[in-house]
Amino acid sequence: MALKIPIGPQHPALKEPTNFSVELDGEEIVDAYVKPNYNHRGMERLAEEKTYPQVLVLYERICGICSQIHPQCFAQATEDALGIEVPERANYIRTIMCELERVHSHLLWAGVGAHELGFDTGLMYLWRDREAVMDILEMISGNRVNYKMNTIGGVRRDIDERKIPMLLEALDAYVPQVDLYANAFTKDPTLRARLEGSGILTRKEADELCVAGPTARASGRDVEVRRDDPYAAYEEVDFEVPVVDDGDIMARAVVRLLELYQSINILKQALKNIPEGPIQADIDEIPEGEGVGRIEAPRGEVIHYVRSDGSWYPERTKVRAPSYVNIPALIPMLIGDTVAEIPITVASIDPCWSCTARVAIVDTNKKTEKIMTFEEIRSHYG
Amino acid sequence: MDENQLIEDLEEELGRALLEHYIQRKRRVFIRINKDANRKMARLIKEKYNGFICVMTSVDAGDDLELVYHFAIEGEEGRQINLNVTVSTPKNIPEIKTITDIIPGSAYPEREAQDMVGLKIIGLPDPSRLFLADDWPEGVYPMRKY
Repeated sequence: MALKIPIGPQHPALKEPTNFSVELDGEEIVDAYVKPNYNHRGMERLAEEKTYPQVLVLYERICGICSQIHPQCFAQATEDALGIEVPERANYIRTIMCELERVHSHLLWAGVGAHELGFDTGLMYLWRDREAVMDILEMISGNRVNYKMNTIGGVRRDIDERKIPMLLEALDAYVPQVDLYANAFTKDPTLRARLEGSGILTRKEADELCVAGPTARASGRDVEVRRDDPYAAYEEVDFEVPVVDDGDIMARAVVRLLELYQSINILKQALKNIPEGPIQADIDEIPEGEGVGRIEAPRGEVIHYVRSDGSWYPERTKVRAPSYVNIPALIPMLIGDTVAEIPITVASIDPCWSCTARVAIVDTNKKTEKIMTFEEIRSHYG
Repeated sequence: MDENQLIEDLEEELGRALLEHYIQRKRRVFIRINKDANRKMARLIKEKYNGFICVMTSVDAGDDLELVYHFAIEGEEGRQINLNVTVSTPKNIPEIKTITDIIPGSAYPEREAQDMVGLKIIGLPDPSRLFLADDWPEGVYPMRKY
C-alpha cells in the first residue's frame, strides 16, 4: 500500500489552514485529496443580518489582499439589483484601485513563490518593491489594506488631481524592477530547474474544472473577466491578455509577470484619462431584484450574487473567490510530482483561503486512517 | 449569439421547461427552468454555448429550496454572457440531479449546496462535506431561514 501523508492544517506554502493528504509511491505522488472544512466563517449568513452599506464593511474583510475587489464586486451586484448607474469618474477610480491591488498582489505572490524555493533574496527584493505600491494605495485611500473606497453607487474618496503626476512617476519606476524580476525568474538556471515541467495542469483539466485567473491562462484557457465581461472603466482602456500554453509553474509565473506590465499600462491610461464629475450616484429607493457582479481579481474571477426583497437588508448574497475553483485543480497538478515540489506547486495557484480539516492520524502499519475531532484532541492531550 | 438570440434558442431547446426569462442588461440573462431540465441545460452549456459554471447559490425561499446556477457562456464580439438559471424544489422533496458528470467543475458548488441548505444532490460522485466541520450535527443547515 502506498504511504499516505497528511499535510496541514498549518500549511507549508501559506500561513493559512487547510488539509491535504497525499498518497506516495516512493517519492512520487500517486493521489491527493483536499479537505477545506476547518474554518467556515459564515459571512454569507452574517451579511443577511446587515444593511447594504454594512455588508461592504464586512466583505472588505473577506480577504486582506483583495480588500478592494470583494466590496466592489458586491457593490456592482447590488447596483445591478437596485438599478443604480455609477458615475464615470467613480468607475475610473475603481479601475485604478483594482489594478493597484493586482500589482501588489502579484508582487506578494512572486515573493512567496521565491521563499518556497528557498530564494529568500528574491522575497526581500520583491516585498521591498511591493511597499511602493502600498504607499500609492495609502496615498489614494488613506489605508494600506481595507481601503474602504467603495460605496453602493460609487466611491467614497476622490483622487486629488495634484497627486496624479506623482502617481505616474511612481509607476514608471516600476517598469525596470519588473524587468529585473522577469529576467531572474526566466533566466536563472536554478529557478528554471525547479519551475519548468512541474505542477502541470493540462488545458483539458483546466477546462473541466472551470479554473480561473492566471492559473487558467497559464494552461491555455483564455478567460479574463476584464475583457470578457467588462466592468468599471475597462471598456475604455487598451490592454492585452497574456496566455501561455505550457501549464507548468513557470507558465504561471510568466503570466503573472506579464500581467504586471499590463496593469501598469492600464493604470497610466486610467490616470491620464480620468473624467471630471461626481463620484457617487443618488439612491432613491430599494426595489426587488437580483444582480451579479463579476471581477477579475489577481487570482481569477470573483463573482457575487445579490438578491433584494426591497428591504434594507439583502435577502441572499453569494460570494465566490477564485481559489474555490483553483484548489481542486491542485490534485491533477500534484499527481506525478515529488514530495519536494508540494510547497511550490500549492503556492503556484496563489491560494487564499480560510478553511481546513482537523488532525488526521495515519497508522501505516495497521493501514488505517482516522480524523480526530476537536473534542477528541482535547480529551486526548488536554 | 446575443442575449435575444440566446432567449429564442433556449425557448426552442427547452420548450415548456423554460418557465420565466428576462434580460436585465447587456451580458446579464436570468431564467427559471423546471428542475428536471437542469441536466439538459448543463449539456447545452457545455456542448452548444461553449460555457462553464462559475458558482451556484442555494436559497431558502420559504416553502421551496432554490438553486441558482451562475454560468458564463460565449456571447458576441468575444464577450461572455452571464446566464443565471434558477431551479426550485419543494422543501419536503429537496432533491436535484447532479450536473457534475457533465461539468466536473460543479462538484464543489453542489457539495456546498448540500451543506448549506440541505439540498440533496442525486448522483454526486463524492457527497462528503465540503465546508462544514466533521463534528457539525446532522440535519442542521446554516443557510436555512424559514
